[in-house]
Amino acid sequence: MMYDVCIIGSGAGGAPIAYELSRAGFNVIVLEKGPFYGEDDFTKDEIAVSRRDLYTPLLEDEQHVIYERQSDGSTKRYVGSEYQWSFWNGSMVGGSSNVMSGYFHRFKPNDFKLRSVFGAIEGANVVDWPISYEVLEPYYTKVETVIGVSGTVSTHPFMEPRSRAHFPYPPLAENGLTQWFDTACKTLGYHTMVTPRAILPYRDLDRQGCSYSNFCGSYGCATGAKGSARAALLQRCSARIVSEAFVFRLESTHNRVTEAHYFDKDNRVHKVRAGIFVVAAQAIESSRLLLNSKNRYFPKGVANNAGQVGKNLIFSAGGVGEGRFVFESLTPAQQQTLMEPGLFVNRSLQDWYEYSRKGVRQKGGTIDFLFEHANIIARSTREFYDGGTLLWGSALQEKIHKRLTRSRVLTFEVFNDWLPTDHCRVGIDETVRDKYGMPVGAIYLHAHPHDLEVGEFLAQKALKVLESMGAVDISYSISSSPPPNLVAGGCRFGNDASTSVLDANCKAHELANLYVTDASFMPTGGSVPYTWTIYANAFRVADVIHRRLKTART
Amino acid sequence: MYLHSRRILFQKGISALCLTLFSRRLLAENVQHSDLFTTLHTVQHDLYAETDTMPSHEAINALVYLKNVLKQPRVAKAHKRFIVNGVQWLNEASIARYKKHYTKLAAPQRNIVLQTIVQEQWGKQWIETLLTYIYEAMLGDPVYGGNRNEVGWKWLHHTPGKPRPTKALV
Repeated sequence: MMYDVCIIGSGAGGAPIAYELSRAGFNVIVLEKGPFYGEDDFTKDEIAVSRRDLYTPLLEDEQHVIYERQSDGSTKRYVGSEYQWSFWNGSMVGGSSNVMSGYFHRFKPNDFKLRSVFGAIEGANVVDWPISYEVLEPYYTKVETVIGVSGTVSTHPFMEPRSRAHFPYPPLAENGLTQWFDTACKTLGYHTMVTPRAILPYRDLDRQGCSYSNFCGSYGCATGAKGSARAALLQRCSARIVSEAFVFRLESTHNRVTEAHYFDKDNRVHKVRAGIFVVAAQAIESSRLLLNSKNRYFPKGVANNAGQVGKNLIFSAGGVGEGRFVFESLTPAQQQTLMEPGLFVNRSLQDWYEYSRKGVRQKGGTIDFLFEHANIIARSTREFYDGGTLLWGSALQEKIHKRLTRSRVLTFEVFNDWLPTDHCRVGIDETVRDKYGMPVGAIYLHAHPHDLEVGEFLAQKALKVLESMGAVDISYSISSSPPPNLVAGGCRFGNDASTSVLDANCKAHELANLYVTDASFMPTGGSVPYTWTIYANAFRVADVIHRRLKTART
Repeated sequence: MYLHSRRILFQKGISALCLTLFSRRLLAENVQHSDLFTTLHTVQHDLYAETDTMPSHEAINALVYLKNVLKQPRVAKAHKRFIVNGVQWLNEASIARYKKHYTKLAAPQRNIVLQTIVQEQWGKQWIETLLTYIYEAMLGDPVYGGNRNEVGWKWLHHTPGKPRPTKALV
């Protein structure tokens, strides 16, 4: 069997291509390492999903080795299984889009030209993208209708241009606390945004609307309202999906990938032949696959003769913070409003997407506001300490009861650029193998100090909002910890084959039929969650491949 | 929630470091099976105070829950070893102070032992671990054997997310 297209990975980077090309009549196969869960399989089981990480591999079976750069320039090595340090997220058909919260922001036009607009930063490999916002804009719009994005277009100083005035779906129902938020921001002179969400407010697109179950992030959506790659795309197209298929090697000639080799769940090896191969296994694993696919033509791994695969790995920089609203300072009506379950806060601030520091133009970022996650065990266990003292017995029980029944926490999340550097990249650790016998990915971590400065600046703005709203116990943490659910880079795209892996269409410079379409392509990560941009770019590349296949066919 | 993983990573990183260190310290192969669970049961009762307004120990069913945790493949082996080893170290601390095993002590003495070991890094980590599983038992879905009649959820006025699991998945 010869497929037109073989896609490795079924998340936001791979599914749009499967959707578009199979609907156009091409023969498409999708190889996904994880299992196939449908809506009926998803429950709000905190023990399984959040406490035991049901949707990620056991680290004893599959892991990474992490090399963390220390302040003195040395590196410290962590074997993932020994330290329970996991970089997996949403290993299943549809990938991590199943477990996203669906906070959807577009990149801004200047995100595509950071180097030109903001200049070089010492120690960082900042470059412009080879495409502009204008090229991607129609695809952002397409995502709004195909995946389903709900919200209200809010105006603010850094609002990106839109070809359509409104989102196709109205905003989700909101908790009354949003009025307190809006009032506080108005007093402060901030422009509040209704956070766009990849969640349907009502039944459409052959999917149910949101059930306001109060459990969204980390959980699969049982109604299909969340715009996961599975619910929105793969379940609505004819591409052949092979789950529990771990692709461990790409075979190639000097300029074409010829076969993908995968293990099935019974450890049997299969080979898939196709005219075009698309790798979208999530950033770290996509680089790992290319690096592990060595042959006589590519001794350093497929598409890596220029030595660029794995370089410039990035995450989302920033951090988190919170404030608590306590009954003692609220009226009975306000208390009732505060504790209403299920309804969203859905507020963001992008007033400082760019700002000036000491007269120099700076790239800033986004602040999202949301209620603390509803996970009741997590909310209880965080109360174990009073200062540095571990509590137990009635003292702990009384504290938990008071905090969880007479107050509620509003959190914020800061998103800013994780600058690409030489010291943050993906490699291979030949000394550690996974359950398939393949060398695991090595993750080299380093955060540029500039990332922390920007995050700190944004956090201070968020704190003012919480203070103005009357929150207490306000705290925050800006750190260089890499969030494994916000990872990109490793196969950056660009016009120069000596400094990038992919061309502007996300095709490997060194091969005629290999594309990489997950977040690996991103040279810089913007200051928003990535998913909308990954979707949009994958739809763009789908058009490129479609034109190519159509030409070949005629 | 996008950065939830970042928070969890930070917490797990610290915990895992401790577990890695402590699980290597000693393998408590000489902890008898019955002694192990008798001691864990006693510690659970010492860490959770049953009152008229609180879910009962019977409803929480924390010991049965913990026994299940020790069988779960998604709980790291080092973590399980740490729980078991902690029983031996607890008894060592108990014998050092009172020349008796922990379960043979009166409640005030047991509390002093707990207050003693919590001053040590392993002790603080061990007590926190046992507390975590008590609250998992009390607040997890009843399919996992605890939280009978949803007593924990009722205590905290918690509305569980739907759909709920119909069977234990881990």
